[in-house]
Amino acid sequence: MRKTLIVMGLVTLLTGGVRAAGTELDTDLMQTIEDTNLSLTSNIALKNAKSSKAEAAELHRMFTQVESHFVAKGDAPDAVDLSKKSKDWAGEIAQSVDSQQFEHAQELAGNISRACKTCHNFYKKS
Amino acid sequence: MSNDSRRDFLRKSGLYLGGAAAFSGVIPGLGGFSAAYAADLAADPLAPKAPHFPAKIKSVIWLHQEGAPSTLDLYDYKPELIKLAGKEVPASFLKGIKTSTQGGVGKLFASKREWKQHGDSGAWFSDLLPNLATQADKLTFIKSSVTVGATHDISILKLNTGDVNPGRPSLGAWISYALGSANQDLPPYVVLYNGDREPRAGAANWNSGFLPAVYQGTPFRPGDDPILYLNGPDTRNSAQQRKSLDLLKRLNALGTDRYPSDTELRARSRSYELADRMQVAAPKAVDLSKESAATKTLYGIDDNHSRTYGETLLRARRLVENGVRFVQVVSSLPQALATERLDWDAHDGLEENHKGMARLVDKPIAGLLADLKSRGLLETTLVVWTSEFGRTSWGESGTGRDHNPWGYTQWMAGGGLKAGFTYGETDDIGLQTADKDKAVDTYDLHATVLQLMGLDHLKTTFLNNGRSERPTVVYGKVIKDILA
Repeated sequence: MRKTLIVMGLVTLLTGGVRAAGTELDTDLMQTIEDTNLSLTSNIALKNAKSSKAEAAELHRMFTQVESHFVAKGDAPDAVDLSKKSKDWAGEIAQSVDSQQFEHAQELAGNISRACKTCHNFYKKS
Repeated sequence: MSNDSRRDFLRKSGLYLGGAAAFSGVIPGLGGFSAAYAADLAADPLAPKAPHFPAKIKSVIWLHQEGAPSTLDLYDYKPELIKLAGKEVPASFLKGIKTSTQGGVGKLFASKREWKQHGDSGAWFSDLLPNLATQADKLTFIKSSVTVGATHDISILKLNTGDVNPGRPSLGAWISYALGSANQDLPPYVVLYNGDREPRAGAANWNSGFLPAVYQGTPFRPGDDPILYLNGPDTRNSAQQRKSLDLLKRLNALGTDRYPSDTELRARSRSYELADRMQVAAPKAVDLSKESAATKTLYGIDDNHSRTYGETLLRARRLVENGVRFVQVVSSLPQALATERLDWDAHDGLEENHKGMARLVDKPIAGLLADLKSRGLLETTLVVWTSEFGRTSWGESGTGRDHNPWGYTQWMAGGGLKAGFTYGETDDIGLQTADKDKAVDTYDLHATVLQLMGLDHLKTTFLNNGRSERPTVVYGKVIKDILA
């Protein structure tokens, strides 16, 4: 499991992070995050470990991208904090699913949903 | 292969059970398919089902205050708003909110209210609710309510179904699905209203969405004939009806024996029998003639202004006594009493509007709480005072307030809660929740109601088109701080 997470981290660092820095955050990425989270919530409820892990890894990758974007942007500390937390929760979901702790994984998925909502409310254009 | 031999093959190989399972999806508490259980459910989808853990309450009375009252003028006393009335909203209060609502941001507005603390809890009430104030110590206030601010119809949909788009089941439907019926002669989910017409946006707010239709709410109209088309024609007596139903039952039984996976046929057969029993049970359950004059006075039925709402709430109590799990009550001013608007939506003329609406609901709700308590029913019932959003601290049109989804008050009363307790607060002018971590969205309210009914919102699931759905979509957090 540790190896998986290390590989996951390296891949996201090399791809997502670099690509996102200094560019506009793609709205398609946000939509994909929302869709993936919706699907992940369902797969956790169905105790579908394989799909849950794959989607958690995908979310981890995408949140790393989001975090890198806001770090580079430099004027959105709350977005950095929320995307980092969401990235960490995605990683923890993969671990929880590995150890068959689906209830905990479901709570973590709820945390991600709320973090997304909080961030969007906070940065909504007036 | 002919149809018959195909069915025969499936039957012999046992695969037809899958059809029954598909009807019920993921069973609450089991988290996956159970063919045998699903088959039982298909036979009687309203059979009582066990909760996930011991329930604190048996029933919910969901008091939707349609039109969105200004809780700033009812419960949320803000001396700073009174002090700043007539001035521009300080920029610090507007941080983080989108204010492109209908009227824009006007100057801060304070109505001419008198405020007093009541009960041991010291809860604040304005002079608009003198009767409800006497019940202060029974209430659990949530003063940090938030939602998505949109039109009334959209936010009402979210209040009842958890989503701003039509198609999801309402909270009452989820509860009916998860727990079944406690009274086989009545629907588990009833919708009451006191206005002349059905509530705005109608059945979308009590539908069953992707859940089987049997779980949707049944609207009971005001008056002696609560369910449309329930009674048979005068030309047919009850013995003839019974014979006709018996024949229909025998004919349907031939079909259900031959096609055991046909859940629609089973449900239809069952609905004939339920309708037959309801013809007797429903009018009886809402018949107020046996209620004492004192009880009627308690509910404000002796006052022409509050009569319709009082009768509706007395019916709600009777339905709860009869085992109905979820009673959704929508308030509106009957046309005969209304000058212009029929609900709480006071974009202007708030003084007159709220005086009228408060007089409509104040005594009946206070009476309901007192009556439930005296009958020992408040311990097993949850009363929820709720609305689609609140109203702004700034004025609109000089005499009203605009929509406010960023911070408003709702309350609950009943079993399993800390009574005489307040959770969360708004900022000094009552515009936004002061502490965002304590914000209570409709999903959180739903999760908490389900929790009190003994249901874990994360485990109350249904398989729809391959996706596991739950009442709180992907959100929802039980408000643990308000639980006793």
